[in-house]
Amino acid sequence: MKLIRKLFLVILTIFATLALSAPVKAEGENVVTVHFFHLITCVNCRAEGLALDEILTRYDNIIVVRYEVSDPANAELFEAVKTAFGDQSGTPYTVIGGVALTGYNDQTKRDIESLISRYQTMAHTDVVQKIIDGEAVLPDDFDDFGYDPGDVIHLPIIGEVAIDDLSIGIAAIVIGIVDGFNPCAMWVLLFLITMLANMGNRKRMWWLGFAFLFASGAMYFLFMAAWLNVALTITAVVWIRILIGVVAFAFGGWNLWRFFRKVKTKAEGCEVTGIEKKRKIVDRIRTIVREKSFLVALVGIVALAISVNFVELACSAGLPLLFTQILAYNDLPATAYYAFIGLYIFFFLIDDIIVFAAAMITMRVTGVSSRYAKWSTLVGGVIMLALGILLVFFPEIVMFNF
Amino acid sequence: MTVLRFTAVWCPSCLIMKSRWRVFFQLRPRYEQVDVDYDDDRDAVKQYGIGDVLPVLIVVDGTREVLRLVGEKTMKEMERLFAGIEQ
Repeated sequence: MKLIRKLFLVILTIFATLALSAPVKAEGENVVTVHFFHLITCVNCRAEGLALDEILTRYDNIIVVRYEVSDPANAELFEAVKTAFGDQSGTPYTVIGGVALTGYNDQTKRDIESLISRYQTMAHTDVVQKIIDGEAVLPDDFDDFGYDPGDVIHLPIIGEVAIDDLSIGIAAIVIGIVDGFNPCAMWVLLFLITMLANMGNRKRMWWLGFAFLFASGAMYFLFMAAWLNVALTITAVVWIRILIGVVAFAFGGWNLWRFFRKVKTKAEGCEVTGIEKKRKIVDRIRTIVREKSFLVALVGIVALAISVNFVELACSAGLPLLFTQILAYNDLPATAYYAFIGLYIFFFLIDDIIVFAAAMITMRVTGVSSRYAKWSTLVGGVIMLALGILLVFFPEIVMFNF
Repeated sequence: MTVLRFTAVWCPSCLIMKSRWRVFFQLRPRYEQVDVDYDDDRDAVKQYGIGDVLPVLIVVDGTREVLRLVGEKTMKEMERLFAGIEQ
């Protein structure tokens, strides 16, 4: 009896699988138009274009209209459609009936098919067609459908985050933390806190320490934002992507070499390099801390943070450049780009913030062990190597917002 | 015996080791401790051949160097290494 039941289940499963994979023939049903806005240089658009080709082979009553938005007429229509949907996303952008889908991933493909199936048996308004025909789009034309354009998860403190954005968010956190352990500028903060702690003026310590951290973060933000704007203009150039990938690979290799050299020497501590430069900075900090006028000291500390971070940028330029490059390869609204850079910088500064807060609370200054710096060299090296390989051979993978 | 402690103000590892040394040498009062600033006392740096990693702790008995610790060391590592010269 059990055997018969199992056999029945197997046969049922086979039939169900065949039924699901068979072409969907929908004779006599509504014709559904898929409006696909894409850009020739956008890799996610290419992926969606291929998915639509495949969907076309399985559904009879669908029409896919493709609009390449570098064409001025298509760009104008694209803007009108986005305005109608109250959306400012980039490509790929898909509109079916009264629903707009932004970006592309496996979920998008499933959503496209769900919408096609739904509209084949349901009367609906083609919003894009109405815009093309110059008709007014009414609130009822938009489909409620219960469709959620992107799955979201709830994170503590942060709240709801789209999974598409989460990948870039995780990259921002991980790369930011690894970048933060680079010891280049940390010593300046430590020396500054030591000098301020010796004076015992907690209020002044708060203000000057905070000003240093804030100015360091602002300097980093400006640098990354500037690079992002450069990166956004060169994303379409294949050889630049390959060049950046090769440079990332080389930087990664160099970091791994540094890590293994540290492992070989077995001495974990501060490397004696750039002594003259460090001495000059030490003298500047002493002058600032001894400055009687608080305002002059504040301006001095901000100028110091800017100059130190600018000079030391070469020490850690690899990771922030690579992260902004990844951002540029993802079609995001401008606010999202800057929010992700802000997230990166927060985690970049988090070790400094912890050291500063601990010193403020205990009035005792402690360093961050060079062991962390050593391991961050390894992790940073591996990340750079991996991203270098991905940028050259598998660029679609670094475009998290599929 | 004398302990020479080579550190620099720009070195976070030196800060970590200074607080460890303070605890460690509280239990070993027989060691005379001398702090040497890497930037200010270049003669001593040359004399003792300090390399490219800080901090450095050197134990000298008269004029003879008996122990040298380079970089960060845990309390356990220091106890083990000092046990060697205290026997």
